[in-house]
Amino acid sequence: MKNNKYFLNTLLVGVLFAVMAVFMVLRAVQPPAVLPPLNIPNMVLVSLVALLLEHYLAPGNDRCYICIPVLAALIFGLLPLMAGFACQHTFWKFGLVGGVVFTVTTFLFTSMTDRLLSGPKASAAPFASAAGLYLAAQCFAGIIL
Amino acid sequence: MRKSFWMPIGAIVLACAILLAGYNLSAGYRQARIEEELTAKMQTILPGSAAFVREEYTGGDANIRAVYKGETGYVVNTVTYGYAGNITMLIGVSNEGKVTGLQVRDMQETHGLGGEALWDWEFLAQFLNTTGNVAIATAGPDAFSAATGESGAEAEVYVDALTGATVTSKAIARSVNSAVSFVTGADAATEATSWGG
Repeated sequence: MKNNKYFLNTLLVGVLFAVMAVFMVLRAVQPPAVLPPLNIPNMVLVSLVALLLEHYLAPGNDRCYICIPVLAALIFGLLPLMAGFACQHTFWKFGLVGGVVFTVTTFLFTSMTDRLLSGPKASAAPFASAAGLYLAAQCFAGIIL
Repeated sequence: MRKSFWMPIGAIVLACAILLAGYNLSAGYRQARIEEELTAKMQTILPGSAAFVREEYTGGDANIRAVYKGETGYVVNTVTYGYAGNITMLIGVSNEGKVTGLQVRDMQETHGLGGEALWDWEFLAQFLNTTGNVAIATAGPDAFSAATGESGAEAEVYVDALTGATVTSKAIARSVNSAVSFVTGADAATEATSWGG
């Protein structure tokens, strides 16, 4: 695939859409189910899944660090709103936090993976980076809670 | 503008359209399921009542969000702030002011600690048949004071907290106290308790 700096955001749409669709079905079929909130660790998890998919489907894409936060804010703001998981008063909060979280996660993941890919265990580098970042995100959320 | 730029925009529009359509199409079914499940749950929480009527709550207790009247008492929907967010509960209180059942409906407390309140029946069962004024028996000086009655003497019943989740346990105790106060009329700020025992 040729270099496409917007492919990552497209994958993010796909991953978050899948999560929201599953949540929407669960809410309709099983109303008392306690669903995970869209908080910082879970936003990081969604972002990491998109980053991992991008790494294996279309590695080596350039990054546009102006478009990434803008599109991510749109994605994290609009999709939960359309699926009924955010209201008109809170969707901007999801968008703002989601934009920042996705941008920071993308930068850290890309930096770590690029560095680790030069080593002998290159194939495991993306997973190792993602796992480390997810754990770090949980610690970070615990600190600011 | 490059063609690839429109790919995520198109994906966002498409995803939003599908989610919005799905949400609206399932609205009727979802509402019916919610009401059906809520009625079944309230029948369990408040034994002896088959039908429930929602009554307007005009009192001043910020913990109470909704009140449902049954034949044998009331089911009170409460929301209190725990450790990691709001804890939504349904609490059944008989006409005599005794807690007949309670269930945590929604919470985001820490898994393995406060999150245990969702299913730890040994903890939740401590609230059954209480008549309000419930407090958490904490370790240290408070526990000693509770035993001697020197401090927190206003509490009638002390229950053991969930391990490592005192804040969550206190939030649940507050919910129970609010629900019982509403039914017994101890919630002095409300006019809706004129019928209370």
